[in-house]
Amino acid sequence: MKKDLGAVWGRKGVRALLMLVPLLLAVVIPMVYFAAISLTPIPSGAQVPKGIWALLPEFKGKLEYRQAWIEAFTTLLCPMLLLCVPLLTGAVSSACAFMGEKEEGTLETLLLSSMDAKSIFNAKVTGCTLLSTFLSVVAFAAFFLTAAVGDLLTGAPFFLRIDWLVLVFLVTPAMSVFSVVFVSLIITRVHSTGEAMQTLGYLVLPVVLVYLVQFTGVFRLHWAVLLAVAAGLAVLSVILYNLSAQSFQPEKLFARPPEDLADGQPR
Amino acid sequence: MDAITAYGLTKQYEGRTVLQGVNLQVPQGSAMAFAGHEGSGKTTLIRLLSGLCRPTAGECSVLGMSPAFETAKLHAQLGVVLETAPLYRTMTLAENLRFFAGIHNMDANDAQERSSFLLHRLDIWEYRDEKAGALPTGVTRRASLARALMHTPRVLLIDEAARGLDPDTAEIVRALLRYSVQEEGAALLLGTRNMWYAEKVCQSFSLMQGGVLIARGDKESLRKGAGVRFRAALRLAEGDEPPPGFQLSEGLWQKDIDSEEEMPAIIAQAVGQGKRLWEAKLIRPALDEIYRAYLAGGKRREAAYGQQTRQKPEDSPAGAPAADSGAAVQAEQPGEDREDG
Repeated sequence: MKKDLGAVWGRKGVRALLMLVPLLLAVVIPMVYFAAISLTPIPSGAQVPKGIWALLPEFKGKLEYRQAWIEAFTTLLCPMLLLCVPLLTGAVSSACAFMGEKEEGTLETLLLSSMDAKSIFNAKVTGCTLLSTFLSVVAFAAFFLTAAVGDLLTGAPFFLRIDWLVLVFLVTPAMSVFSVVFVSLIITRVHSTGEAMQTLGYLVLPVVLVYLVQFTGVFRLHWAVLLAVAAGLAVLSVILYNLSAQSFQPEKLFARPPEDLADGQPR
Repeated sequence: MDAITAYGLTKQYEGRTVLQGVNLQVPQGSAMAFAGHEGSGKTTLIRLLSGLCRPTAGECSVLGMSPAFETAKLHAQLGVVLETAPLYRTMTLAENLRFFAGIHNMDANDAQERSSFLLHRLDIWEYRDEKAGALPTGVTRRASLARALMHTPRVLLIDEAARGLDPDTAEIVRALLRYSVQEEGAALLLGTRNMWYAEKVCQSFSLMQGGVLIARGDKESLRKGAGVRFRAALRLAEGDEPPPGFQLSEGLWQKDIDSEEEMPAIIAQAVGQGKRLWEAKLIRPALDEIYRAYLAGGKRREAAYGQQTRQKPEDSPAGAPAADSGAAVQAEQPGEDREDG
């Protein structure tokens, strides 16, 4: 596990990605939004669109125009940004730990040791999930500070309510496990680390779509729905974990003829 | 007790047969070379015996364990060197050895002692603190062998031990392999296309071609099976006529003989006839020559079989053994021959 974490962190490009993307999503984008909404002059009679207004909590009547936009941003859009962190870090670390090692050939060396395939798989999944969860926690802490300062400066209500708590403590870890296991499942089908990372799109797209649609005012994700999502992701992760662990066998991982067949005689 | 056994071992990849019906026994404490040209199925056999892939048909066992189903337990006593299984590039050589020693639950002191022994024996001690990714090819190959030998395995499966090594380094590797077999009691299966090296390291040989085991046994039985004879070679003074039956080849008068016991008579005859004999020697055929004879024999057998089929299709046998006398002939039609076959 230590070796896997070291290997993921040892790749310059991956390390930069794992540090910069959470920073961008959890700090830079919210900060730019807060600055923009605070500095933009408000036209007289400006109102928050009715659809979004309808999704704001009961105390919305007390909110000014800027405060309403900050409330909408922090509760309707920022969860999407924060959820992208476990997805991204989980998928990238998993792609490096599984596919990176497969590409370099050391997965074969490892499978020739006295460690059984299941233990190797477990160590990799655990390491990647811990890394992803740790980075998600750090990203949330950074977002917490940014949003708290923004709320204080604009007088907007404090953002951390029950839906955020469910999101941070249940959905985020479930998302980390899910993305790690999802990528581990596809390593027998892809050919490179880059290709494995591209599957990130399949994971991020549904999250982005759900939150963007929410921001148009069609629906609001209630905390109970988030609770169900966390439970659903956990169940799905267990299923995918079992499927992935079963396919983590040398025969399936290296399902190709050895090198010396390149000019061998097909019979 | 046989450390390695295989019966009818067959492997197909996407319909292509890369190993066909191989039978094999390697006793504990002995070294067998699995020799053949590129594409003869050497790597596939090692992958099957190490549990990296499963046979399409047939079965094999190593130390009485099934490689496919008792993989981790087997790997605790098995050392494998494959070109496709390198060391961790970002770790130093010493870190790599410590890491794999840790996986094999070796005590830290034992691991230190063993790695020091192996690095010195393989003459790569001075590279111990360099990253594996930066090591020269020859050192990398020796480092992989050190990794495989760290836990003092009872069975060694090595693919192309001498490829990319200069003669001195190949000799160092050979000495360590001999030490493992003779002093540590390991069984060695060496996959190689370097017949000379196979002959230096091993006592018995399995000759492969196109995924088929064409013959196996010790060198003498293989020589007899292939019909390759000894040669008596004489160097005579200039102007002296050679004894009857001798032909000039490579500066020496040579003649095929059936047994080395004919040599005293040949020498006595030459001296008795008043020849000025400056040198007399017995030329034993190299394994490579024997292998080529098997390949050529296969071609001749194929031609003969084709002719027989054309003449008497109803009487054609499935194939007749063309060689006997101790060499176990596994396949009668070894497929198409190579350029040098």
